[in-house]
Amino acid sequence: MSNEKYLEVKNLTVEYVTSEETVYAVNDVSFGIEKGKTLGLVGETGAGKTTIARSILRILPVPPAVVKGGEILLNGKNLMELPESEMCKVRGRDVTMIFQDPMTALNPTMRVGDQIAEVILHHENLSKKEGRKRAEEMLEMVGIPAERYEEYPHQFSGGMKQRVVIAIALACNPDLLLADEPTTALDVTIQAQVLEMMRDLHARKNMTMILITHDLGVVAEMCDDVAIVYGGEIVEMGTLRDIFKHPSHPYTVGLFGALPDLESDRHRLTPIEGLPIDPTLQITGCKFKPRCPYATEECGKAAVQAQELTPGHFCKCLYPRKEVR
Amino acid sequence: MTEEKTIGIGVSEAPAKKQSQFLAVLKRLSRRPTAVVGGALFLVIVFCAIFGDLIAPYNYNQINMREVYETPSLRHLFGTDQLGRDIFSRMLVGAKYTLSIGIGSQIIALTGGLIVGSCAGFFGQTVDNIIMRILDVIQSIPGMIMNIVLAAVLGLGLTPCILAMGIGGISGTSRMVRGNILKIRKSEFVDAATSINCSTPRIIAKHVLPNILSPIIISVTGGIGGGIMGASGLSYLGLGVQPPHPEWGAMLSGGKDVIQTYPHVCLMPGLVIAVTMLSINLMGDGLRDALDPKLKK
Amino acid sequence: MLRYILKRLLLIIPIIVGSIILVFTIMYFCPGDPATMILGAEATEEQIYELREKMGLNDPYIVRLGRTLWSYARLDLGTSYVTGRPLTEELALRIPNTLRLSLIGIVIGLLIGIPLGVTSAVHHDEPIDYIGMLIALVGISMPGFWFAMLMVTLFAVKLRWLPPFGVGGIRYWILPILSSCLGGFAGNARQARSSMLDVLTSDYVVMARAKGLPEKEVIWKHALPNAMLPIVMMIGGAMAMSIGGGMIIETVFAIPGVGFFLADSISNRDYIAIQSCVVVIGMVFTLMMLVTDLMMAAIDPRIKDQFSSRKRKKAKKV
Repeated sequence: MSNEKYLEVKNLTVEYVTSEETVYAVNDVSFGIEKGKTLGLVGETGAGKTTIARSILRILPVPPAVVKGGEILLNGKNLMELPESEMCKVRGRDVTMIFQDPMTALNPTMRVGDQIAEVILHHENLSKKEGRKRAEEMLEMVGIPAERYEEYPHQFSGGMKQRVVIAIALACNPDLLLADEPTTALDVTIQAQVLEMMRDLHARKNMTMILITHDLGVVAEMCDDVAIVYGGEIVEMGTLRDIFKHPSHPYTVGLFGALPDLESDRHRLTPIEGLPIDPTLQITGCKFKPRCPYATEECGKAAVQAQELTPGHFCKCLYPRKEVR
Repeated sequence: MTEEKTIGIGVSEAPAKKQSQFLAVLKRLSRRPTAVVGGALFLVIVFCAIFGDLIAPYNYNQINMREVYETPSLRHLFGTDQLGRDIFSRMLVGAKYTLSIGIGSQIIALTGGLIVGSCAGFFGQTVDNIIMRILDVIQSIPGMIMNIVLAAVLGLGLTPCILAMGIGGISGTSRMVRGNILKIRKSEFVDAATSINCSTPRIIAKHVLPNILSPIIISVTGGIGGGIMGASGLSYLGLGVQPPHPEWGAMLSGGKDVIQTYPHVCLMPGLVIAVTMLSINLMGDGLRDALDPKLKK
Repeated sequence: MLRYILKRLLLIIPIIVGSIILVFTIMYFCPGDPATMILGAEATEEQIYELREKMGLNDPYIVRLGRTLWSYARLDLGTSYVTGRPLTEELALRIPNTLRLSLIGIVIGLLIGIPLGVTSAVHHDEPIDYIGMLIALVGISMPGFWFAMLMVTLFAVKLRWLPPFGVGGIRYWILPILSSCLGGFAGNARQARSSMLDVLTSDYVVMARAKGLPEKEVIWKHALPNAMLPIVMMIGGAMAMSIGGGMIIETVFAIPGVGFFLADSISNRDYIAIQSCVVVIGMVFTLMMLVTDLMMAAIDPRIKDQFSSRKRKKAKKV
């Protein structure tokens, strides 16, 4: 990968601290994306994907969230050090986010159109009328008739709400879009529509995008690069081809093993044994060790360093797999 | 796949969870200093209610015309009243009236509320509609006014006062119980229990009751406070426990005529009522936080 | 909206009729005989019987209930057993005082309580939060009438700034209103804080932040309108407290309102006066609750929608 990364996250560590326990949500995560590319963050529920995205925008709930360290460089500028007023200009204009649950992401007491116009008016010097016109255009763009500007979120279906959320995220032509499981809460048919729409918009506007999902099918369709997240760490990262053809980390291999495949003649899916690790425990060594079929004593002794298997393909495992899928 | 697993965890851990739940709540409670202070204060008041007669420095009914209206001093911590009786001793002895009104009225309100509320919650439709309309009518009269009218009808003294506060509280607890039952009946774990052929009594005992326990505990804690507060109001109007019984509200009321000259006679009982209420509210707030299912994660 | 208001107005009629029946029934079982009371202890049994017959007290429950309902429908609240004056007049004289006390108390309680609670929630776990919540906690822990007595000792007796009781100019109303808004203010502050805390962690507030809005706008435009729903819902309870507590406060300050009259009637065992007072208070309270319901509908589009005309809904679905 080249050095001209548009977004670079370095050694990000986030914990949720309450009086009762500490959840180690994100542990020393580093990754980067080039301009115009799409990175897929893949992992189980609770692996820390959403926390990574929210850290970039600095909208973590504080307390309980505590950013223990790390840098987030957007075009070379460290977002972690920006004053709040500067950060407000970045949010919604340079970097925007699509939320996971469209049902709760819209303000129930505010007109749908106004929620879109709000972000436009905040970032661009427009009159109210122009703002409204732009918001109506955005509605049309995501396939909702502009006449529904005056309606409230409860009058919209789930899929339409998600379209509105996407319209809000795209309203100011962001450079970086964080899509947090944009299709998880939707029906499969609607999922396809929304994905199609996102891919279309992505291509037209040359956005950089981080797509958070646990659906490898979506990743295969949308992403250029993929990072696999497990227990708050990135365990494997590479191009789409690296990950799909040469999955190296046992967890990645396990994910593919749990995926149905029409072409092979396997009769049964192989699930990953065991349960996701308890994020309140601090573990030395590999977090996947208890579930890993290839684990040895060595895995638990010290933090496993990432090794570069082929240029750009990193894997945090002492015994990377070498099979080709 | 992950979702299935989380459900699996829930089922397998359910029996073990129950015992630890009580401990967990206690543990969470003990971490809140305000709740601990409230609980400790409340225990002191309970102690006074039980042993007040024994630890009182003076006989609570000892009339001493030579020491009328003494201001608070070391000899008489809270001063003396119009008959020279030691207010501190009277308050210690009177704690049992106040607490029995608070707790007694809640027992009545809760029993009534559980019966009415679960009828409305379980029988559904027609029964529910009728009960709710009746509750609407009852609640169109402000609670305190209802208590006053009931007290006027039932007569004076401790038992009528408990009854008045208790009966007046039934409509509120019924609504609370019904609301929570309906919420739980709609939830999927009840559907799940029905689907594995659980009998209705078992569903009620194992699934519904444990889940309405926290709102009930919270409502009862608040209700005890409300009962004490309301009863002091009744006594102030001359409707509750009658003097010479040393009920706090009655003592407060007894001092209202001399408030311009000897304010301590009614200020002291009021202060103790306020401190009692404070302890109950602190405890209630702590319980509310400790029982909050959102925090259990 | 007009349709909604009309519908709600019609719905309170059965509630008021029901509350009259309820109060009548409770009073029906009240021990003591008005006829004996009016005539005094020396009256012969025959005299008492005659008076009872004249007052209609010997009729069965249903007949008396019907008569009561009919007279209330004509706005006739009956005649006091003790003073012999028509109760409609007596209460009409007193209602303005009661309304002034409780309405101003409620409004002040809202105006101070909600900002205090919101401030506490926004500065969650900071000193200002602790101070605000301590004040509110003390507020709900003090009996209103005791607080009133404290104020009287301090401002009327010790400092002699304000009159201790009675009615007159504004000076006379300061202490009663302060005392009557205490419970409501503290309760509102606590409710406002907890619902604001709930809303502040919701997705749409995070979303508003992700839009780049400054925190002030996030709170005023997004969090507060949504936090207001449970607060407004709570106002009903605060009103009930304010009316109930206000009644005792009227007694403390000797304000000739409905509450003071009710307390008087209870000690005089003037049953018909008690009954009329309670019915009137119930009616006032029901109307106040109606106002809060309408406020809810104004804030929350979902509630208004339930009552919007069917035509519009159908047109939308097509």
